[in-house]
Amino acid sequence: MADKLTDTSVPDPPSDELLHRVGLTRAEYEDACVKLGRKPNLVEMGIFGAMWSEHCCYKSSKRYLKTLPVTGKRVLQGPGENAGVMDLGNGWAVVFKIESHNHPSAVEPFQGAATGVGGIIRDIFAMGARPIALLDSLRFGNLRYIPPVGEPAAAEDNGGEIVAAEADQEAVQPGVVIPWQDSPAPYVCTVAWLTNLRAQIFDRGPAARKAIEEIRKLHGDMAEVLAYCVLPDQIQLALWIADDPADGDETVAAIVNMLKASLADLGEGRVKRGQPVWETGYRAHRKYDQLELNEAVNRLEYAPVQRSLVSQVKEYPYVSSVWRYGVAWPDADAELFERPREVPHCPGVTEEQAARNRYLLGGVVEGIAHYGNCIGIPTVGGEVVFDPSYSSNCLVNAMCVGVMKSDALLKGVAHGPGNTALIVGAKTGRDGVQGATFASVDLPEDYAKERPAVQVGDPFMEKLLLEATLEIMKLDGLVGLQDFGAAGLTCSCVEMAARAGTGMKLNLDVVPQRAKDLTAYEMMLSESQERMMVIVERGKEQPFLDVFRKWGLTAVECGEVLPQQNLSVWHNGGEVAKLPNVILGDKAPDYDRPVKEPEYFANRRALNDADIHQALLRIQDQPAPVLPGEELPEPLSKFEEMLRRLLVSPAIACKYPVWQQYDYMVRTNTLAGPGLTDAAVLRIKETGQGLAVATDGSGRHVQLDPKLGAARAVLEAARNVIAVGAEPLGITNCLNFGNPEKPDRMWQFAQTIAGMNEALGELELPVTGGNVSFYNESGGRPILPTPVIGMVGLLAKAEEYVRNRIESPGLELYVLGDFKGRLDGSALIFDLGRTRMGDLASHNYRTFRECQRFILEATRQNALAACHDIADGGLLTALVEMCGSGASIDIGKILPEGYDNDVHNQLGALFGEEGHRWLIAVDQQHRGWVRTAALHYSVKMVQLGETIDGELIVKCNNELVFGCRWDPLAKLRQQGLAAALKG
Amino acid sequence: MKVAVVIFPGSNCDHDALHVSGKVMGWDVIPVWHESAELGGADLVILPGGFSYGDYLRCGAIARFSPIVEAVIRHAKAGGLTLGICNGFQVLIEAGLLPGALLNNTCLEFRCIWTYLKVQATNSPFTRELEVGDLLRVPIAHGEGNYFAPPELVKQLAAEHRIAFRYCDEHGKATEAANPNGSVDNIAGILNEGRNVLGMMPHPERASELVLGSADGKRIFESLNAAYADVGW
Repeated sequence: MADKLTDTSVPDPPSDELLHRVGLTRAEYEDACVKLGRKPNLVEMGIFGAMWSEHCCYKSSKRYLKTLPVTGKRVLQGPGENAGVMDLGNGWAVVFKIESHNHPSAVEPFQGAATGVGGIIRDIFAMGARPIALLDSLRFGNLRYIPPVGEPAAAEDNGGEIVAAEADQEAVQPGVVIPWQDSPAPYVCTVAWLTNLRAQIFDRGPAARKAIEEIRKLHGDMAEVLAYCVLPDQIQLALWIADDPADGDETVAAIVNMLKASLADLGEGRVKRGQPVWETGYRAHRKYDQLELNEAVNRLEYAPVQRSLVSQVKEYPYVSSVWRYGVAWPDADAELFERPREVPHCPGVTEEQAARNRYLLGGVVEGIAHYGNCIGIPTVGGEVVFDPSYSSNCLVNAMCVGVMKSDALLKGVAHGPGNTALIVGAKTGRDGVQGATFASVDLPEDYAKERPAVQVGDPFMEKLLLEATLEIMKLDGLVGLQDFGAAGLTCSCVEMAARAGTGMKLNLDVVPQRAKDLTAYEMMLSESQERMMVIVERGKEQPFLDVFRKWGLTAVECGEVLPQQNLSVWHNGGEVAKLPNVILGDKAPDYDRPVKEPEYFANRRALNDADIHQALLRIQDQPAPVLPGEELPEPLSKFEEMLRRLLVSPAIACKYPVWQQYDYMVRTNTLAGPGLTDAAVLRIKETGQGLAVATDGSGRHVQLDPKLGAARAVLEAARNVIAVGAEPLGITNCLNFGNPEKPDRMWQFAQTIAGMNEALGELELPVTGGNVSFYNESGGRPILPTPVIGMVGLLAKAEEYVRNRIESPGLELYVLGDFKGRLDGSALIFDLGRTRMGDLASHNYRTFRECQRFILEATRQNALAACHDIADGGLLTALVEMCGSGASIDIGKILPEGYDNDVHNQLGALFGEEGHRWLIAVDQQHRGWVRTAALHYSVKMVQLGETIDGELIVKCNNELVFGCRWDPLAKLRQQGLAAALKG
Repeated sequence: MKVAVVIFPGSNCDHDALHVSGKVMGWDVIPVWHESAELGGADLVILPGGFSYGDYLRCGAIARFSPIVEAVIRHAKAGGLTLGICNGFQVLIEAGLLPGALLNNTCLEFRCIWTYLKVQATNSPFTRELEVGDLLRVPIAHGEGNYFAPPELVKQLAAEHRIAFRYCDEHGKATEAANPNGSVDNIAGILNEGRNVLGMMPHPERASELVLGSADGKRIFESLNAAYADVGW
């Protein structure tokens, strides 16, 4: 039958287009020819393309993945199988894995997400485990329009787009000099006036722009405006009234009064109702020569830098002068208001993208709900995160957790030549042909055309497959089984045989088909869902076929195990492919891709006051969030305003619009589902033990520093598991990155692995499996590098877990852990302030371990009323999430000494996310134990305050920083996501 | 009491019904496969939640034709205790044992949330240990639980005290905001004429242990216990 293997339809050499279609580079094709010793035919090329795809063979990542810790005393099965398995003691084991379905979901969100869930469930029950929980880590572009900030870096492969701004302390030199006449001497002066009690009115873009518009209106009429500077609490002008007028002083007074009057209504929320916006009077200084004038204008222009609002004059948008531009305002308004500022680029989200992001979120959630709810596995947790970089490249990472008797472990092996291979489940169609190669290229701009590469899921079929699989486990003669995932039949056959050191003969003629005239190529690469391969001892097939028939499933003998290590595929009576397994698997490409540290990282620096101020300016460009019908308190403190903005931001707001669509309780094992605890808690009815499961990832921290950021993701997942009182057991990871062929993306990946290694080593945790998803970019723009960690923890007694919520007043609040008090990488500055810069602090593992020991012991003692990890949004956000009624705190003890009245330090304490901290609530009865134990475990613990009723009060060394009503905060958090979903 | 839990291929709350019957209530419980035509002499039949046959057509529409449902119909018509929860309620309606219809939730989304049920009728074996006006905190989890009946039927159900539960808020008010799926008159569960068949969308089996957040649902099973001890169905 050698004639079928020599396929004359493949031109020699194959065209670029053909190679592209099968997903091979020319070099890979030539490598395949050398390894095979002949030219592969079309079917074989397809098999090579799928098996050598990034998705199947991890060709860019495997040399890094090999460095991760994969062993440990509880590990029963590490990476390389369908899923990882860890021992729970008592004869039971937990099985878990996370996997991405990013590209299909970006193209067809409902089916893409649904089949992602289906795929990960099959991985779990293929190990012989009963799936008991699903978690979904989701990332989308923002749901509403936001403008871009700054310009993208010029270099295409710059990787990140961060350009660090250098501090510029030089005074401004006049560019254009106004010719001064001495006779007659002009009436030239500077004039400045203040807001009432120096209220911060023009720190908001709209107010500042309004002021500039009004100043512009008077230009040329009563005077020429040589320069202006709108500062948060004052306006400064340089005016040229006329040549030696008699009434110069009166004209100045008239101008000031006109401007004061036209800007009199800007005080809302900033000055008390009924109070004037402006202080009475003004200061004017007449200038008598060119030198004096230049000096005065220099001072005027330099004022924003001197007040630490920006680090360079040109970064401040609300200052301008004749000197700099020839006129006080350049012709184009755009240039006037959008002065080029040297800030790191942050992509925006257009109205169109925002609408699509909402559609994607809706579809993905519905797809997950459809599949998980129908099959009856509770979706108990996960994440929903937003960043412009995920627009049109959403991330859908699904994790499944199962439990099983530890001695019943099944493996995906094809032992025993002569044994029978059964194909079970759905019929094979054309759906998802080459999904693996599709997942291994950048998303094309016209991705809608790629729909045929997305599979369609049938949760009912999968439910039958699940129950049947768990039933055949008990039968004699079961050798191994594996689900059909990426690259369908091909991948399953090759992997099962390779693990057993055998080969596999496949007869495609008997494979049940749901489309007409499927070619061998299509059948080998189809990713039709809900199919499994089961290897059964020869002669013991009948009981298996009976079970499948009971569940209404088609099961067909489609091949047998071969002693030779070959994949041999037969179709229409002839052998259409014959490939040694080892070439497809072990000898698949293993690339050492070039890595290059990007410039932005080399130039990174910590945020300074000017960066923070600029970020706050950007945040305040939009009106402060307010409940329907609510009147904003006056004056609105900056702290409350920032807190309100964080609470309504969809990434931080309550996710109930998502999780109320998930059945998170089915099977009555969910003791704590979404919103009650930092990690979901499930009971194992058979042993009384509990599992705590969580997923975590933080693209913004990894973007700023991949190594520290990735370590942080591990620690943050651990923080969540520890917060419920569970002992972390191990992780599964889903590594979402851009194009690995670009050295800076590859550098991010390499650094991420190094960071994970560091954290896993310090916490002594293994990785038991996972998934790498590269090519998450569109139009040359990558996503934030996003490693997602799925962690499983163990509770000796399921019901002894700690909540993250307390409703009642009168409990003491403490902060545990190390505290850096910096805003670098925080949601406030990075997400809301859209400032993609900063330098992360290193992790203090010792403190972390001490806190872990303390919290786990406190849980056993039932000493904690609540425990909550301080994460996105910082301390105040964590307080609003944890306390049901209100809180009064004093941040004096967590600020660096001597800096207690510095606004930026206070912002850092209230909104910073650096370090690893937990917030705990303790009742009177247990305060003694907690205080003694904190000393015993040498934990750094600070008493922060207590829960109260109806208010949030923040003090610093007994001095009030701000206070506000509690109810609006809780409501804003509750409604934030629901409102954003409406557009 | 002997209990049969009917298992369709797509049932997914079968384990929960078995767990509550066996472990929580201590009943003698058996699973019954959908192809069986026998209920094994059960006193109480529970049709659990799930997606009986995938429910791509209309929830419960295909299940109605299965051999076991024929047996359930015989059991119910003979006065046997029959409890349909969620998808089980849908099957009972399709089988003609209960009147009305269950439509898509008005929000057109799946809803898994805790609700409060106000007890409306106590003269049934399912509710005899409850008081009219009692509040039960019980979750729902469905996409098609919007109970519909024409006004005259609703009137009749109310007049005959066959509305077992209404959705209400935590203060016991049957408001529109407390109606999670758009059901007519906030109806959450109804009885048949013989009062031996109860269909309800909320899941009492998910609220029968305090560790799950509520044990209010257990009161329904305790009523059945008492009724059985008393009358010996």
